[in-house]
Amino acid sequence: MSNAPPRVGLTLGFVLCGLGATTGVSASVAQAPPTFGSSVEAVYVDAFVTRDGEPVLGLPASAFELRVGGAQQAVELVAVESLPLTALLVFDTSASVVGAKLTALRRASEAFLDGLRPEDELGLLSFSHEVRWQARPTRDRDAVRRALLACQASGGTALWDGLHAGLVLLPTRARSLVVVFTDGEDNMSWLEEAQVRAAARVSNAVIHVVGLRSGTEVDPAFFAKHGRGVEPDHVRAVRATAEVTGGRFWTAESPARLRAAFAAIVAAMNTRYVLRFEPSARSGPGWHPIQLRLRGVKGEVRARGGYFRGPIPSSSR
Amino acid sequence: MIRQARAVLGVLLVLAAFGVGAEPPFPYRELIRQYAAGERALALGELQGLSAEQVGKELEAVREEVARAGRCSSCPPAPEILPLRAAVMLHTDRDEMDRRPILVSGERAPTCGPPVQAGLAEAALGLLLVDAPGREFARRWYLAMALRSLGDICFDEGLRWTAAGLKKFAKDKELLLARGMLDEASVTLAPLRAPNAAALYPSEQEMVHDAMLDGRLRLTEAAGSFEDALAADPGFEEAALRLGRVRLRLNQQESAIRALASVLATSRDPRRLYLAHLFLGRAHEAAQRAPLAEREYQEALALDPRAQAAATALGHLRLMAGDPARAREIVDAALARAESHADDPFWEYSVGAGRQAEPLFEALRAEATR
Repeated sequence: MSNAPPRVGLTLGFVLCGLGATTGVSASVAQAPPTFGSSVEAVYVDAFVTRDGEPVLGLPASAFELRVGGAQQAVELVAVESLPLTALLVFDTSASVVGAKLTALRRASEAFLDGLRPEDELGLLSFSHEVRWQARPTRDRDAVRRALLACQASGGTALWDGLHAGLVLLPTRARSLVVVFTDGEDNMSWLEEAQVRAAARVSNAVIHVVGLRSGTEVDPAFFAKHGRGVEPDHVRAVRATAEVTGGRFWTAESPARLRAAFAAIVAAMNTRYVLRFEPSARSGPGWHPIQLRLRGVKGEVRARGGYFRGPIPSSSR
Repeated sequence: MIRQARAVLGVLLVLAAFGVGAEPPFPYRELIRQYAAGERALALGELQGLSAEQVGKELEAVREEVARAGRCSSCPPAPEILPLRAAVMLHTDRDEMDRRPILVSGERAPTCGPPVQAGLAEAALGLLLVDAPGREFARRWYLAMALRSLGDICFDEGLRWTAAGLKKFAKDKELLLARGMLDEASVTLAPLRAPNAAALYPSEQEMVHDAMLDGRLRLTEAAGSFEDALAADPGFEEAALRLGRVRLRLNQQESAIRALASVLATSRDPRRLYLAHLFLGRAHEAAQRAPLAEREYQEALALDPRAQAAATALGHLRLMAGDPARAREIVDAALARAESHADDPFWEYSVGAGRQAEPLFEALRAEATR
């Protein structure tokens, strides 16, 4: 363990990039992935725009108004196709997933694999009570397929530890995605919801969670009063964590819907906007809330709610 | 003619009611003696032919005989009337079979009660409480039943066993510990979370609040059980460890630190030391003392380099300190070690004590078939 003081600079969600890559760009920036080690800081915000549930494509940078702490930022659009995606599947392989569920999950994963571009990387982590690398991020799709086939279901459910490991292990890149599959509630994690939420904030990964069960459960008395089911607390917890990053919770109650959810997640990543801005040098360490809205365009925009700049004061945890 | 037919029908109905035509049920006391003689499988099979009501009546008759024997010097002693330990274990074993029906997959999955056969076992057990060896047998039986319920995630059932046991053995430290573990584990499987007021309707908030209050109440009760166990035996390390963990979960960090420090000061058990460092790290982390937390997590990891919980804790601390590269290194190394299939003591912490039930039952069976 290093005893060096915490590095002042960028945490996940915050990358350093070369000066040359940032000059004279007003619209889409077709460039290599950001390089590290220069003195200019950049924040990348992965945003998803929908209108009536359908993705909205082709928006210019001027369609986005991004504020940090109330101050408007000059944003650039980075061409999504110029940034390879690093995705990590984080799959629940606890005992309850044994049999048909695991088979359905393997099949549904094919839809995700099919949606990736050749330059994208994909890895697989599994969690029961233990978190395991099944396949490190690779462009070799067959390696991931073999890893999926090798997954066995047994043991408890350390959902939070699994998700946390995914966030920590993803390379610090502008575009990264964590797709969690779970069929139940955490019962084995060391980490708690609040800690993983904090880790999600400092990560630049977009988190999507696919739940095999219904997102709501019907309590007759509650349904009679409110006309809807109650969202179980554990679903609320993972949904809220996904939403912190601009992702969402997907319900998949059948193998067909499971496949559709995986296909939609990967498709959405290819229809997102990557916004880039350089925060003020005066902005100190800690959490910086982002307000992002559309300007002159109808629709909804989904993105992370802010970014951390390290070192992180313990009081903000 | 009609009268004759009615008479025959009446006789047939009576015979059917008594199962005539099939093999007559084995005499209950004979089954117990078979079990005591080591014919366990046979006795368990034959017991199926007897209803709970029949067995209840038999046990009541035995109870009366035992009571009479206690009042007369020429009567046979209780063990000669019936080997009561064998009766207890016969019903216990039958209960074990009933609570784990065979699934289509061929596996046996546990179910939580209603424990009809266990109730009969407890009725027989009541007759053993007349002397010290019998009481000790009964104490261990209650403990085994409670631990089995813990392992089967049948917490309320387990709490009923500890309540029944503690009625008879009020200050038994092991039963107190088991009661605390059951309360603690029940909250672990339904974690406490602060309700997100903005996202919930008032009635939903109320439901979440109720769940939280129930969880806090159970943790408070668990803390009380561990304190009682420590009062019975101040050197009871497992109770001190668990008291520290529960105090931590109740956000009583300083009290948690005292309990955990006492474990670290006295214990030589690697598992307890690992967990005490781990929990102490969390207590310091919660109290915003990151350097102290890091030191404890490092101590835990040094004790068990293959443990994922300690690596996860340390990795998280480094991540939140703005050191994602080191966090990645720590977590990646822990995952690489997962190939060794090493068990992290933290995984066993909640319900792992359930594994102690079977050795206890085995010892009780051995005594019953001696």
